[in-house]
Amino acid sequence: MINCDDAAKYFHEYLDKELSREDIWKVEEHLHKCRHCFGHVEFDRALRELLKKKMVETTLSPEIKQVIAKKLYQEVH
Amino acid sequence: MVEYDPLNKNKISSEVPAGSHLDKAQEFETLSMTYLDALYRYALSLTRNKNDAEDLVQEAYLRAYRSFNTFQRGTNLKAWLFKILTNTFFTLYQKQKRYQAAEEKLKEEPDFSLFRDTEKEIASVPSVVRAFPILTRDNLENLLGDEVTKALDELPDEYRQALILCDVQDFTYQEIANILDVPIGTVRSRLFRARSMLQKSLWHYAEERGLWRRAS
Repeated sequence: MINCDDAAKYFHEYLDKELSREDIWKVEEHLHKCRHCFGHVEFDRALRELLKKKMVETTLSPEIKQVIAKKLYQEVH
Repeated sequence: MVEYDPLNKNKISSEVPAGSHLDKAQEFETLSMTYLDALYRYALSLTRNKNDAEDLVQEAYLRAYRSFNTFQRGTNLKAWLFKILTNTFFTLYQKQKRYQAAEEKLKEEPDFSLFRDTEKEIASVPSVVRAFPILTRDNLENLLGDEVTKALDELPDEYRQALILCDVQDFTYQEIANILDVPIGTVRSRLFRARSMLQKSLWHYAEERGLWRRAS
């Protein structure tokens, strides 16, 4: 089994789903046995979810969307 | 090769039939309107200014429409729109030069040692999480919700953009590399640094608030 230092190198890409099947297996084997790293990965995962949630709160105003639709209309006609 | 239509006894034209620009507009609108909010959030991360971001989305959207016939059906429309928005940004704000300069600077840095240093810093996180279980998934938002946005704003432009494309827009590394027109290795290193910096500032906030103390 890989140690904590080696496992930590994979964490970001593990959460980004950018690892090969083989590397996913290595990471998950480690996380299954190591609460220490499991906590780290869960914290990072929670942080990402929070970031996404915060960002999604920002939306383009309906007025601007209307302007865009109008410009598109003018472009076509 | 010219095809022959036995029913019409006419050449089948490969040209778009007249009047189809209405269909094209409709198809474009149907497909792309749903991405306006996502495009706007990304535009904000580029311009860091509401008005500029709104202008950028409008301009990029119309440019996308004008070149919609170059879009290949079945490929990723969202990634295509994001790339057009990125290019529009560089054209309108002529930021390319500054970006390239920043890129050069990145190359000069001893990448590997920097990576190891950051790794070392990160290696101290699990002990923080373990020693101070107050920072859990459930209460992270209550404790650090506002700080996350602040910490994100404080990141250097190119790190913040990569992070938003990855974590908020769910693009793959390869798609991000295409959108930003940089090698995939650059995407990896920007993301790595962005995450390290983000975590670091959050620990500082947590520390300031007395949520945890460094083990002495």
